[in-house]
Amino acid sequence: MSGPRVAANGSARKASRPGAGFATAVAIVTVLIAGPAARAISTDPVLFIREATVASGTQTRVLGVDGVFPSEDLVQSDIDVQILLRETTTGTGFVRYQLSVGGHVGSAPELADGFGPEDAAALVTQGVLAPDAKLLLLSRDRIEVTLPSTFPAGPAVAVMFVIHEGTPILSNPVNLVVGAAP
Amino acid sequence: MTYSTRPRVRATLVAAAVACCCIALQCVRYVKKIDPNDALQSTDWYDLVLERTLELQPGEPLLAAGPDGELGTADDVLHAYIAGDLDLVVRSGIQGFSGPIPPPTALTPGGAVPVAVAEPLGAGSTVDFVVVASDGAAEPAYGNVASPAYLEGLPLLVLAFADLDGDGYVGVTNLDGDPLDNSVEEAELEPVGRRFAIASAGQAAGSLAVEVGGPPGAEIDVVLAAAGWAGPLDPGYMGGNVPKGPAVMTALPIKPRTDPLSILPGGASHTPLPSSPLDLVGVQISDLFTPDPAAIYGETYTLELDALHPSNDLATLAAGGFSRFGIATTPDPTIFEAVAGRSLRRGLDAAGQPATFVVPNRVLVRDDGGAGETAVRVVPLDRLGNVSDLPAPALVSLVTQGGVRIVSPDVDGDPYFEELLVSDPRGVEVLLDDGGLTFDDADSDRLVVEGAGSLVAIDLVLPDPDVDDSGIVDAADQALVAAGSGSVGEAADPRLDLDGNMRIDERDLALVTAWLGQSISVP
Repeated sequence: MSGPRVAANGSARKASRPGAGFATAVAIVTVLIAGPAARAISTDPVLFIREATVASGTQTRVLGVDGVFPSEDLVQSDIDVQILLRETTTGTGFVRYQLSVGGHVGSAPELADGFGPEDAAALVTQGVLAPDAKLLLLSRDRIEVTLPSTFPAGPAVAVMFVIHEGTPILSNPVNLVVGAAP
Repeated sequence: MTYSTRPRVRATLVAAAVACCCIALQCVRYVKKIDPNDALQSTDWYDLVLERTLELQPGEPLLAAGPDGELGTADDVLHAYIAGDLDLVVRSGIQGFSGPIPPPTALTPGGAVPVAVAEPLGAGSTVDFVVVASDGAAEPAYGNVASPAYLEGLPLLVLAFADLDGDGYVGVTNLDGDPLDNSVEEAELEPVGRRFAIASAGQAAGSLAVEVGGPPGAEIDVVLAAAGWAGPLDPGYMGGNVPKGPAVMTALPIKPRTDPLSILPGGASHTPLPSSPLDLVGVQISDLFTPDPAAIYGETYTLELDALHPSNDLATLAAGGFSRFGIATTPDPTIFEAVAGRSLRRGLDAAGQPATFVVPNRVLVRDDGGAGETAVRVVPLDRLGNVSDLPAPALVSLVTQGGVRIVSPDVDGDPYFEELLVSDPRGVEVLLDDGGLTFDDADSDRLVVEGAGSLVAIDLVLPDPDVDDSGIVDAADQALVAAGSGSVGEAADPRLDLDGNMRIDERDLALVTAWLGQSISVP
């Protein structure tokens, strides 16, 4: 499989208006084609986290992830982009969001030394569904999910990943601090 | 047939020309093709100099670059006598037909415009569609179905473009009587749904999911359009797995960029592997220029809902189910920029009338010592950020972190906390303001909106012209803004974005320059 291609993600590649200085970059069409097995999705997913933060309120905590991901494809179909939030105090506790299903919480010893492509296949089978961990927002450049009440406060790291045609694709990891549950 | 550089083919073309536009001498450059073996491209215009078929939307005149070599600029030349014909037709609400190409669903007796519901992850209801290749004949209406052999198995792209400002047009237009809202209308040039469908016997059918919708009473109208890459395969071009073109399309609100080599990797000599289908499919969303209704081509790229182009069809989009509360603001067309993080959506104003809103991640509160308030609406949103219906009234709490005041409503007397009852999609208007003196506040604050088991933290930004916090507005501040110029969206540093439109540009520089030499307290 070839490496990420920015052209695969429309939102990541917009043309400037020629000769218009600061004018708005607008979107449009264009497509290419072909082959007997052409599919209705983009090419290799591009995953990038610009910022990840947790906002705390009196009722819940929300993880917000800003970045680049195949948002148009995520509207059209349930491609399995996942978000992993791993606490780094012990390194093994996690909540893994399968966006269409919700968050699974668990502990995985193999995460103690970090999360890499080799961990992805096993991780997607682990964890218990947490009813209070759900998708709140999926926009062009941001995903918001509620944190389960059991997720511990303290330092953590967020990663987006997808297993695409059998190959794990990971975003950059982003460190953040999770506040205490209300 | 392949229009290569072979002189023999070129001579054949010239001989076959049926219209030789001799309005001016240079017109012999463009001829109409006749190819009995290719009903789709027959009667399309051909450029004898560039040796390629002109890629024109139906009815679109040929726009050629002027001396600057760039399209979309003031010296463009319009060849009004050369116009595209009907190549593709899209119909909504159906996934196929037999017999003649049907009229748009909206114009069919007894037909109803299909309604879709916006939800992510394929959970919404979709718009059925069928794309049809047409020979562009005048009779029957919409032409005859064309099914050249090369089209079999090729993907065609269906796109939905939304009338986000509710003026009855999709695109940048002055036909709505408002030439001042063009910046807002640019947001309509980005499709709100897209899907490939595979052509078979001249038709390609599927269903389209969408990412926008409105609450009851403010649903969003969209125009369906289509585009695709036609033409036979050439063994010398990308391994014979990608057609060389031309692009064919319905009427669109933009002039699309149509260079396949900019989308698929490796260039013309690259051989994509049929065993890896994703090596053969690519989508790039980009335009050649932003339509300007005051330009020489006028309203060519405007799609009118009530006078629908025969190649297009309509659908209506409703918001998905309630997910959380958020903030909506009214776009200011004098500074609005259609960038990520400032999604344009439809909702209801306080009187229950449909209105256009921005659903922002970041809100500007002017640090002007309380001279001007910032109005926002607390509204229910679906999982895609659309203003949604609300299943039941809900209490929503608002909290700022001590900088920005919640001026109204103020039932509890606490300027930094308020509890509201939100009953329906109209939401509740809230006025925010800074305190103290001009430019004396911290550059940022947060507004936490919490209710119904969810919350959102909105960034409140209060930039001042002393961007480096040196205590005086000077050339160093100008230099910082100039250095940040061109950055947009979340990448735009809010300290440099003095007008709060999420684009660092000359307007921000002018605001710094206006305060040059002034001392400013550093919070």
